[in-house]
Amino acid sequence: MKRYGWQMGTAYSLFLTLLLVDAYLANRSTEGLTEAQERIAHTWEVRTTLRDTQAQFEKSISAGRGYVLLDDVTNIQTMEEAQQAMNQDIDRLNQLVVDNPRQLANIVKLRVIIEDQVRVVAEAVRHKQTLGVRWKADTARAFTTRAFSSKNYITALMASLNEMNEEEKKLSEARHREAKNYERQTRLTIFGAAGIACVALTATFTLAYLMLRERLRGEVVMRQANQALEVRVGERTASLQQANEHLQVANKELEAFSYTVSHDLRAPLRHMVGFANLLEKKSGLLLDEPAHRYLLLIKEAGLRAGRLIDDLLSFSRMSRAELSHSRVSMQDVVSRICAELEDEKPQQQIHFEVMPLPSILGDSILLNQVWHNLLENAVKYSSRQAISHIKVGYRKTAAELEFFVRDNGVGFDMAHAEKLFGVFQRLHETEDFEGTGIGLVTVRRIIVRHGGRTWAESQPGEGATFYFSLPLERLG
Amino acid sequence: MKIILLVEDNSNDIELALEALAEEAFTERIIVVKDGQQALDFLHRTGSHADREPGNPILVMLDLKLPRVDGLEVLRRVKNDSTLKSIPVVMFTGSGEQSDLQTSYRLGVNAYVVKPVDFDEYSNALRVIGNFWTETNAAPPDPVPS
Repeated sequence: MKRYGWQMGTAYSLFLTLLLVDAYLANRSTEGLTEAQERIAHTWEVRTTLRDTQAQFEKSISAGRGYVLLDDVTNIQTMEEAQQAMNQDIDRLNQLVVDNPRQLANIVKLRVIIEDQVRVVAEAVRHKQTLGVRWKADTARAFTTRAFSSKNYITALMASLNEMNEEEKKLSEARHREAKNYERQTRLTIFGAAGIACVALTATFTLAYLMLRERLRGEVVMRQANQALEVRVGERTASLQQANEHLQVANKELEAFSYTVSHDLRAPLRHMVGFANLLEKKSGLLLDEPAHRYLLLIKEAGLRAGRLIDDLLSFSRMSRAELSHSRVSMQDVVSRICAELEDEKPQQQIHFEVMPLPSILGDSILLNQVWHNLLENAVKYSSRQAISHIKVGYRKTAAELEFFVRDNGVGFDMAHAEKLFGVFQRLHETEDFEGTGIGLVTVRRIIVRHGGRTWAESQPGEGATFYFSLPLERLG
Repeated sequence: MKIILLVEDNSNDIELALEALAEEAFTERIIVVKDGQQALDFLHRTGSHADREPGNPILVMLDLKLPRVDGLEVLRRVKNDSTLKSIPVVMFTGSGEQSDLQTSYRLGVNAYVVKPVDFDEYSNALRVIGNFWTETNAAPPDPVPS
């Protein structure tokens, strides 16, 4: 689509320019045509006026002659009217040819001839009027002949008129040619405009068609892609549903499994420990040192097995349970656990430093478990210090809330950090620090289910810091 | 003399329990039955226990997994019976499962105690339970006034 952008721009500018130029040319040729036509009309007017002048001239002559020869008095008025008309014509002619020096000269000549003739005729008429009947017929006739028949005047006039007419004719022809030119130009510009418009229109529509076709093609492709996507989504959903069903079956089996473990595994352990105790109690006096020791070991092994089972069971239960949702005040939870730990271990000097902590949306019981495990660990692994310093805090990053528990205990080697959060992995001997090693797995499991991460940092002998993060959306 | 009815199928558990309570005053009162049906017979004074002394036990300690009639069924029948439902029933079982806990309480159990693996804790639990229901607690009237 983009490539049509500048093409359209260029085409548009080009056609616009052409049309404007064409319009300008059309305007000019039309003006020219109009002028030419006006000039042609002008020529026609001159020639018409010339003809009229001639007509009036002849009219005045014949009127004068009519009076002189035939005594018709009305002729005088006719003659005078004709003369007036003639004068008007000549004035008009003067106006019309004002820019043509040759014609102007001709008019001067014409005026002279006509004035002359008018004078002669007027004289004759005057004679006639004064002398009337007394004017001798032959004198009158002779006069008349001179006045009215003199070829000089007529010839001269005709010549003059002709000359003017010819001149005008020539002009007329020239102007006609000019007009034809302009007409041709005008026609050309009009066709030109039409042509440009056609081309422009064709180009525009072609472009539009191409763009539309491309768009439609695009839509078809997208529709196909969408359909393909929906098919895939359908397949995915189906396989997800299947996976879900499998999971649910697996869950049910796990439930049945832990139920069995719960009942059937713990009983023998209980018996083992119980009878070892009873043996100790009833036959203790009969036993020597090693025997006592063995009994103790038997009891401890049994108890340990029992704790392992309990931890495993609670871990399994926690993994399967639905996450509940409520507002958990991390501050309250931590404060309470710290107080409990202090009470449980009166012989240990523990100093807790707890930063203000936010409230979180999550599973209250499970989050309690997280803090309990982490804080209990911190207390346990710093029990060898004179004073246990345990610091709890958090910070906000772009997308997460990072919580930490720092202790000043024995620490651990970072090389083995991977194993920390694994089931039953322990980085210290049981003799040194008791525990089943499931605390951190539980923490990880719970935090992961809340959408967060767990990790730890430490140096041997310099304490350890355990971190867990929760998504920022959980801030409540 | 008020009876404590212990319903337990596992001989080891029976032995441990009796040993744990050997020094308690109420130990004489303990009667053991090894399956649910016997428990019901005892309580209703039917079957093999038809000839026992009349009078409700002061406490029933009940395990969950029992042959013939299981613990939950015994609990249900006891708590649905107008003459028996006032008897305190304490679940004493190896199961810590939420489902068992919820069902038991729904059926009206008076207490639910998970048997500890540690013998000292186990003994202590038994002693506390026994002492509470026989000494501390005021026993329900027997027979129950209608």
